[in-house]
Amino acid sequence: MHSLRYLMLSAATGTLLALPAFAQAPTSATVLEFADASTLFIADSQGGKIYAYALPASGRAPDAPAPYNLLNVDAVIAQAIGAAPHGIIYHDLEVHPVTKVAYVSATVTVDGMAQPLVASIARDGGVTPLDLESLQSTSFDIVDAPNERVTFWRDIPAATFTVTDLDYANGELFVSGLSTGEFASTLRRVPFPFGEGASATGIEIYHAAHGQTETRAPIRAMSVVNLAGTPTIVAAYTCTPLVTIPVDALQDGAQVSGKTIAELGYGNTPLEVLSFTAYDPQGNAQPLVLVINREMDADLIALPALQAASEGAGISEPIDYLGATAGVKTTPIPLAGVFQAADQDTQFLTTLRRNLDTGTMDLVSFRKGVYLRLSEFVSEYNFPDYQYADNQFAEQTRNFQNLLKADEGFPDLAR
Amino acid sequence: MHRVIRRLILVAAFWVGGQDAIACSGLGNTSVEAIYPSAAEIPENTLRLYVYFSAPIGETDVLAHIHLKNAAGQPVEGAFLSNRFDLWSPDRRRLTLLFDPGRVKTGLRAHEALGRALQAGQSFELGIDRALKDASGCPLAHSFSHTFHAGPEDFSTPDPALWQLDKPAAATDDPIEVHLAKPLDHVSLAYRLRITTATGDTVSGRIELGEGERTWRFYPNTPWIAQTYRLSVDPRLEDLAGNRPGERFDRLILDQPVDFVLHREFRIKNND
Repeated sequence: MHSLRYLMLSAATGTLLALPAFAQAPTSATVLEFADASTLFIADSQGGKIYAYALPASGRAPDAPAPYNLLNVDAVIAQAIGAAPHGIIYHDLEVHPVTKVAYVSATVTVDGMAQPLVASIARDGGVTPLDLESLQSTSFDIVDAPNERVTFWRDIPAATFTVTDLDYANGELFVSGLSTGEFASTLRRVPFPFGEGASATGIEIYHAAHGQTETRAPIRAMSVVNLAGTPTIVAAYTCTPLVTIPVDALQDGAQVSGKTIAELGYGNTPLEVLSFTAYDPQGNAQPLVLVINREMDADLIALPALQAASEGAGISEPIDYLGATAGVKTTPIPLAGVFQAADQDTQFLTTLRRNLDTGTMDLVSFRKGVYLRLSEFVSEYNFPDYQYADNQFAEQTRNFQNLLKADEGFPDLAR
Repeated sequence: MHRVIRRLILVAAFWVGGQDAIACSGLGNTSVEAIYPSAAEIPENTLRLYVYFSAPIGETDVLAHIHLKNAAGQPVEGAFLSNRFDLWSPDRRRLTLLFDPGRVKTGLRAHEALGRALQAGQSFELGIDRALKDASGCPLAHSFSHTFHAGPEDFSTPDPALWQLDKPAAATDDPIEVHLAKPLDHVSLAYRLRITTATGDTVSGRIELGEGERTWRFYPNTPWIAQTYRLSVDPRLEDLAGNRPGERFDRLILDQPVDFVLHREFRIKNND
C-alpha cells in the first residue's frame, strides 16, 4: 500500500513537472505548409490546433535544381530515428522555399507507440527531425472550446476537425477540413501571425447530374491560385468535383456557392491540388494546376483553361455519369502511386510515392513537363546494341534521355 | 495532458518491455463500449457511425480492422471514406466512420455507378477485429459486431416546431423531455441543443438521450423556476443523414424553402 501511494505520488509529480514542456507540442503532425523560409505551419488534427513553427536559420539555395532519388525512404527514416520501417504513416510533403529540401510529416511507431514526426530529408538521405517540443511556436485553435456548463450521459467529445489541407497566400492561412460533427466544407481563413480576425465560411458546391443540386461537402485538397488577378481557391472535393471560389467571397459566417468546373471521376479521392509553373523548351512559362488522385491518373490542367472555365457558367447541365469526365479539359499524367507532391523548383516536382513494385515509399523528383522516371522503363533504347539514328530527332531524344539518366542518378549510362 | 499520459504509458511500457518492441504491455481488456446511431434501423443515407472504445486506441490503420458485411456475410467494399487521417476524438476513444459521401449523395457519379453502401430493406453487420490494438499495444478483449437494418433514405429536415415537450414542474429537478419526431445525430444532441433563460443564459445541467436518440432529456443542476425558458437549437443540428433545420443535406436548387424554427419557448409552472 505504501509503495503504491509512492508510485501514485511520483506519477502525479511527473505530470505536473511535465506539463509546461509539452504544452506547446502537437499530439499529431499532419498537413504541412511553409509561410516563408523560417515559418512552417503544422496541422495537429488530433489536438485541434495549427502550429506555426519558427525554423532555425536555413541553409542557402542550391546552386542548380537537383532532383531527389531516395528510393525506399522508409528505411532511411526508420534507421535515422529508430522507428519500425513498416510503422511509418506518411501524411504530407513540402519543399523548403529556399533550400529546396523536402520536409515530411508522419506518424511513426517508436517502441510500440505512435508519435508525430516532422523531418527534413536531404538529397543524400540525411534525416533531421524537428524538435517539436523545444522549437519556438505559436498556435491557433481550430476547434471551439466546449461550453462546460452542460454534461452528458456519457463522455461525448466535441466534434473534431481534421485538417485536410492548408494553403498560405498573401498573409493568410486557408484551412480546409473534415469535421466529425457537421458535414460541411467550412473553409477557415486565418491571418498570420495568429491573432484576431479569423473567419469561417460555409461553402456549398454545385454539381450536375440528375438535375441541379447543391450540397455540403468537405474539401479534400486545395490551392490558392491567381485567376486574372483574383486570388481564387481551387478545391477538389472528396467526390471529385473541382470547384473555384474567389477568396473575397470568404467572409465570416457567409454561405457561398463554389462553381463546379470539372467532375474528375467517381470512385476517386483527390489527394493534392498543386499550382506551379513549368517551362517549355523555349523557356516560356506555363502556369499549371495538377490534381493528384488516389485511384486515377493525375490531372494536369493549363491555368488559362482553368481560368476560362471559372469565368464560364460552370457545369450546370446533367451529365452522363458513364462519361469519363466533364468540364475543363485535363491531361492525364501517369504519376502512379504518387500520394503527395510539392513544387520543388523551376525544373522538378518532389513527390512521396508508394513504389508499386516494392511497396516501399520513395522520395523522388519528377522533371516538369516529363512526369516520368526513365530508369523505371525498359525499352529498346536499353539494349546495348541500340544505335540512335543519325538525324535531328534522334539526337534530341538521346540528349533528353541523357538528361533524365543524370536526373535519376545514372549519369554513367549516358550514351 | 493527453501527451503526458502517452508519455507515461511509453515509460511504463519501456520499463516492462525492456529493449523489445512492445507487443502488449497492458491487460488487453479494451472493448467497444457503444455504437451510435444506436437504433436497430437507420436510413440508408446515414452519414456517420460512431464507435466508442473503453480505452484509447493506438492503431493507425484502423479501417483495416473494420468490416461492413451484408446479410449474406459478404463484405461491402468502399463503404467508408478512407481519409489520410482517421477521425478520432482527441482522446482516441471515439472513432467516426464516415460513409463515402460521394456514394451517399445523389447526383454524383460515385452514387450512380456504385450506389450507396447501405441498401434499404437489408441488414448489415459492422465488425471490428480483435487484432485492433489499443494505445498500450494490446489487442481488444474480443472482436465486436453490431447488426443493424437499413431503412428508406431520409430527406426530411429536423423541425423543432414538431417536437413534443414534456415539461416538469417548478421547484423540481425533474427533466424536461423533448420528443424529437425522429432520431438525430448524438453529437448534435449533445452540443447543439441548450436550455436558456429569457436573458439568454445557458442553464447548466445534464443531458440524457432516450432509446435510438429519439428523445432528449435535460436535468437542470438547480431546480426549475416558475418562468419562461427557451429550448435553443443551433442551426448546425444534424439528423443521421446530415439534414439540418430548413436544409436538406442533398437539395435541389429549385426546392421550395422549408419552414422551421430554431427555438421553442416553454413556461415552467408551479404545481397546483
